[in-house]
Amino acid sequence: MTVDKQVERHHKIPGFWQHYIFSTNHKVIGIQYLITAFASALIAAGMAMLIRLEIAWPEHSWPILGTLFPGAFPGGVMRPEVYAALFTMHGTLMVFFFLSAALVGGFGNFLIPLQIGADDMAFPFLNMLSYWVYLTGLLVMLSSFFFSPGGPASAGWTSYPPLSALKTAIAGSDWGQSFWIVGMAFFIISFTMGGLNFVTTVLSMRTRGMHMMRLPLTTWALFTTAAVGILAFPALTAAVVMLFLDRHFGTSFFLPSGLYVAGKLLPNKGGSPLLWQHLFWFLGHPEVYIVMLPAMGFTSDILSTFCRKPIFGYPAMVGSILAIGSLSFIVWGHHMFVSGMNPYLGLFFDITTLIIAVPSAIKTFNWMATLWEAKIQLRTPMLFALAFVSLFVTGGLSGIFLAMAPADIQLHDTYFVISHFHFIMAGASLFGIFAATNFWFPKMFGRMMNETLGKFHFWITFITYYCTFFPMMFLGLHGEMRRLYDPVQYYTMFKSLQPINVFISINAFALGAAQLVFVFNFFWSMLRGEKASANPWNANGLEWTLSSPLPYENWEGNSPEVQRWPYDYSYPGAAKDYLPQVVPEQAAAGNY
Amino acid sequence: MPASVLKSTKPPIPIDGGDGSSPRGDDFYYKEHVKWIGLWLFLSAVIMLFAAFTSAVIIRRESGDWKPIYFPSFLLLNTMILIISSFTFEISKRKLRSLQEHGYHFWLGITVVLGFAFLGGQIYVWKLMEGQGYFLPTNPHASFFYLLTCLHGLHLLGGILWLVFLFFGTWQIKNFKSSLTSARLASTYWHFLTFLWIYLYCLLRIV
Repeated sequence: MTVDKQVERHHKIPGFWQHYIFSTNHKVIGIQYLITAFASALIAAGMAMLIRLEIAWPEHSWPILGTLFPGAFPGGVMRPEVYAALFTMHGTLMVFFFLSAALVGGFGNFLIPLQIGADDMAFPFLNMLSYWVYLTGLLVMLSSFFFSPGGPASAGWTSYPPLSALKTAIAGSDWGQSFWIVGMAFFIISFTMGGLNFVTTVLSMRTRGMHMMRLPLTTWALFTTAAVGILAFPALTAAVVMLFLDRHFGTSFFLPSGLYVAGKLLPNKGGSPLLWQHLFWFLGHPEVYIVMLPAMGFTSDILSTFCRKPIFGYPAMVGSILAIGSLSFIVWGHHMFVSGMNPYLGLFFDITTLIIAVPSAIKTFNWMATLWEAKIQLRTPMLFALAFVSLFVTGGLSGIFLAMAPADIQLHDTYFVISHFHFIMAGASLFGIFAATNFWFPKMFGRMMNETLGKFHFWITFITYYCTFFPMMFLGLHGEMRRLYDPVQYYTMFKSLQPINVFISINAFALGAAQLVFVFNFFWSMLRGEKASANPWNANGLEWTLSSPLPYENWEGNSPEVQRWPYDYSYPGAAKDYLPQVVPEQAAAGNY
Repeated sequence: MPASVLKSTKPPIPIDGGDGSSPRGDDFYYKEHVKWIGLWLFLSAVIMLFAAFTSAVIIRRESGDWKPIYFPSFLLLNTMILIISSFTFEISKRKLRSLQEHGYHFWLGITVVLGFAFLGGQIYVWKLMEGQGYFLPTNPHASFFYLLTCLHGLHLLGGILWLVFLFFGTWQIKNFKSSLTSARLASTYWHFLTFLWIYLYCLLRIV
């Protein structure tokens, strides 16, 4: 690069505020999303610790908590309302403000333009707006802890009416639920803006030679996720608008006749609480795949890189991503088997849910086949990707139980369900996020994450994750329900199961503590980590042809020309064991 | 000149650039391509929103307390106004294509006025309904009536703002093609809202 060009480039980099705060650069927005999402995850994880404390030692007095939070823990004992608020906000923050935001907002923004060879997103300003609207939504959610009389929303992350629709039903149904609705509205708007950007960018900004069938599976997954989000979130929008009207303007969309609150008959008539469930789960189930698919994409790319083998069955992988994305719209009823739905309708949702196991199994077998006879390099991202597959299989197999109405009616709302979705949705996606953070960290900050700390974090997290969530399956099979404030005092039949709860909680605390190692590693490596080369993992994607850390402008107008798919590892006849996407066929034998 | 310009403004909507890539670069068609995809994705989200409300109407009306409401015939006039506004927008686009600045502004202005007239008319309809004793919580049909007219009105207000931007912003003969693109995008949104209103009218009238 000549001096003139350097000067020219230097001029394009804006000042501090425009560069780091109100940035329209997809890389900065991606990192903003990621760090904000991690912050909300830490808050939500803190809530999980308090929840586990209460379940293992119900109504025990913890003087230190009484001193720290005298309102929530009078005399050191958690109030039941606080318990309900905690599990509600834990779910909401984790599902929407952490998993969705980190996977789609964080990695989606950061990776899509890099992997398709574009300089930025299609609508950079909309992209910036998306982050700030997301942050506003998060702050609204969190502020309900401080500014709403009665505390934050407490009707569960699914906010089923009538509990959520009646201001006087529980403490959290007062202002807290309104904060929840407004926070979710901001989140939906933000997600829709992001989704518009991602789909448009992938469809219209791929570089020369980048066929759709040469896209890395990460981009395929993020693309499908964004499309699913655009089509699924409006249902929740409709639902929260109607819930808001029911709460504040006296309508009866969700409120049935004959409800008594505090001895008084309510004037509402004829509303259908089930309508909320249908609308909520029409988003809620695709939401599961919104957070699963990107993690599947990361796993595919990372497995292939560290196996030094092409991903097995690329067209089948793409096909199953699309199949999962489309099937996710017709399975929502399996959350409602106990709602008294027509058994024939239940049968329909049984079958569609079981069918979605087919593309999921195709993906799993393809990952297995990629691992088959590979020279596996067990670096930290690879460990997390392998753990993703493990958690996905555990969660997926328990999902088959829940897909079948006769079993689900027994298991509904028990710890079996909690265990299931903490493996498949929460856990697998979380491990996907860790894998991707370790893998793409050099691109983000120009330094490697510490390998020793990374492996330490991995093993503690992996072992305690299984020890925390696997025993919950046994609790569920014994019938212990979720969301119990005190499982011992009021349900004597669960007394004998209490040691399991203590074991789970101890593991949960270890799991929570292990995440501090990750936080330390993240920030320490950002500042002090080993300097990364442009392509530390010898990977093939376009992002690895750029320097680490990335230049402010990706390709500065000289977009690359793509010659091949991103999975040419151990290519026969090539000098090195990998062929980046930009290497032409004739050069393959010579230089690489 | 107009004829040649007209010819070159037929936008190809290419799926890819021939070599597998998407059309790209700083050329006009590429930018247009991006805007069209963005608009249709947005419209698909709006379609899903109203599809969700439609399913809510269908489920809710089974509850037994669904009673038909007073339906002001003034709504028909309103509907006509909106349909006419779609036509005036088309006329204004024709004027733009034949490079008649005044005609373009005149008919665009008429469209904006008709848009405001429709919104005013909707508010008048609300007043009429209130006069007959139908408020938001009166019965489910009334609730849906107020909710759906309000949401459609908000989307239309967005459309009017867009038209106002067009009115003040786009007439530049040297940027003829991008002016036409902006007008085409806005008119697609505007016609979409007209069709959406006809759909909502039928939905609220028939069920």
